[in-house]
Amino acid sequence: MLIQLKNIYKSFDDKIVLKDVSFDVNAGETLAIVGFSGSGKSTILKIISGLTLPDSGNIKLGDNNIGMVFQYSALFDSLNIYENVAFALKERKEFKKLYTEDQIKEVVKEKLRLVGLSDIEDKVPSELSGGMQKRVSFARAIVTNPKIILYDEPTAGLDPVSSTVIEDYIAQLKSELDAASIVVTHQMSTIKRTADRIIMLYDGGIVWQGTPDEMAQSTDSYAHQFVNANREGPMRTAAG
Amino acid sequence: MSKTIKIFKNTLTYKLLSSLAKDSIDWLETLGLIGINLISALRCIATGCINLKNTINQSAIFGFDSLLMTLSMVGISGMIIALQIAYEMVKQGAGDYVGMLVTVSIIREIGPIMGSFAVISMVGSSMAAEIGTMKVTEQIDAMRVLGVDPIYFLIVPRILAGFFIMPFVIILANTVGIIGGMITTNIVSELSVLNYIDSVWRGLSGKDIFVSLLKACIFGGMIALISSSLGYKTQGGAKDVGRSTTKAVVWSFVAVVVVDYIISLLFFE
Repeated sequence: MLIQLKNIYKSFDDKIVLKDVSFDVNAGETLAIVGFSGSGKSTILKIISGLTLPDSGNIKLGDNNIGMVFQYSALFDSLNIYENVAFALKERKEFKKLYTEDQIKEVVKEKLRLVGLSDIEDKVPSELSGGMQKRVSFARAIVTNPKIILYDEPTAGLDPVSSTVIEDYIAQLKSELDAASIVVTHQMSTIKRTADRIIMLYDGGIVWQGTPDEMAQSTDSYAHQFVNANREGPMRTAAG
Repeated sequence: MSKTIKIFKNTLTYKLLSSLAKDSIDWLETLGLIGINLISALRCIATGCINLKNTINQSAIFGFDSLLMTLSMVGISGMIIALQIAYEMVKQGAGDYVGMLVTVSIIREIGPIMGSFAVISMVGSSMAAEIGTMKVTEQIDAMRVLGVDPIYFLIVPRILAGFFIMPFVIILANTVGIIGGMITTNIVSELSVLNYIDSVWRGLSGKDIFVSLLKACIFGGMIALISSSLGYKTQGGAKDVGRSTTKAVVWSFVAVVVVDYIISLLFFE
């Protein structure tokens, strides 16, 4: 087991964002966390990646080396693509000792090739399309061969074809790296194409869990409302 | 009772007090964050955790971006001081002291202070905006997930650049200020350039130069620390980046003036 969360609670000011959230993810498995906006999905990723501390609960990670793909790529805009992808290898003490500059160049080239990109090392992020930026952020996230990969709404803001490309890369990386992956999304296509298991969050807690097939056929009121995008049901969005 | 509280909450006094309390908390938070970042940065420097490439890049930015503005401001200040005093002093037979007075004013106060103001507006504001934008676009979060400390990568190089480059900027600015004073003196009075230069030499003291450079080092490091910290504190979106930038400029201005007073008190009382 690479990721284990037990009884996680988190609140910001007076708002409870997560209450009693527990789940685990094994190596080679992709868990999709779904739910409406503001349901605490991204907060779970921030807790796992160490960006935010939970108020209470336990987190066990089988590997401290974590890769994360951010919703809007979060590429360093003052660095070129090569420097972005090579960032962890060049700046982290443990990797600095392991790689020479030539080896880093090779690794960067290989990771970019893995996400279908080449000859863009000298470009800066603003010269790339949204889909390409997302793929560069994939390459950056996997440059250290992490065993835990977190995706925060990886297909947000992309056209349907680019979304499919990204979803295929998520599936491909899972098999190539044998990593435990968590995909936060609310897009059904991403769930279907990438997830082995799904947990659905509402009001800070897990209200349903199962496989993509189970979700499609579920008569559970939460799963049914989400799959069919119904306004009627037990869940209310921030939009009303 | 609850009705009384409700009425009180609508009063101007309550609104003023709550706004004051909110500002005070924000002020203390900012001060705390600057303190924490300073300690983290010093720990980083003490353990040799320095990104040399970034420090060199930031030094170039610190030096070149602010140079023209700094030289202009201190140069014009020197001209203004000379304009105010030269004609009258020469008329009163104290022309020998014009260069000395301009030099002492420039080296002790005008150079470091006006130079810092120029650096704050040109470099400090840009630092706060850049780091603030990185914060709201999750670039700093990405850096942390990649296992790189933003203090090491972003803040330490800026502090070092400010600390080591600012003295060079101020030396140049002081020189331009004194030359500016010379040009104006020569135009508005009959004092010759040689007499002015002679007076400047008599006005120069090792202690004044040392304090001027000390101020430059401290102000440079401090501007970088405050601007980076306020950028780092940004939360929200574009509007908040703008607010952080403004706050960085205001905090830096106030800090420079306060610290200038303390240093002057320590050395010239």
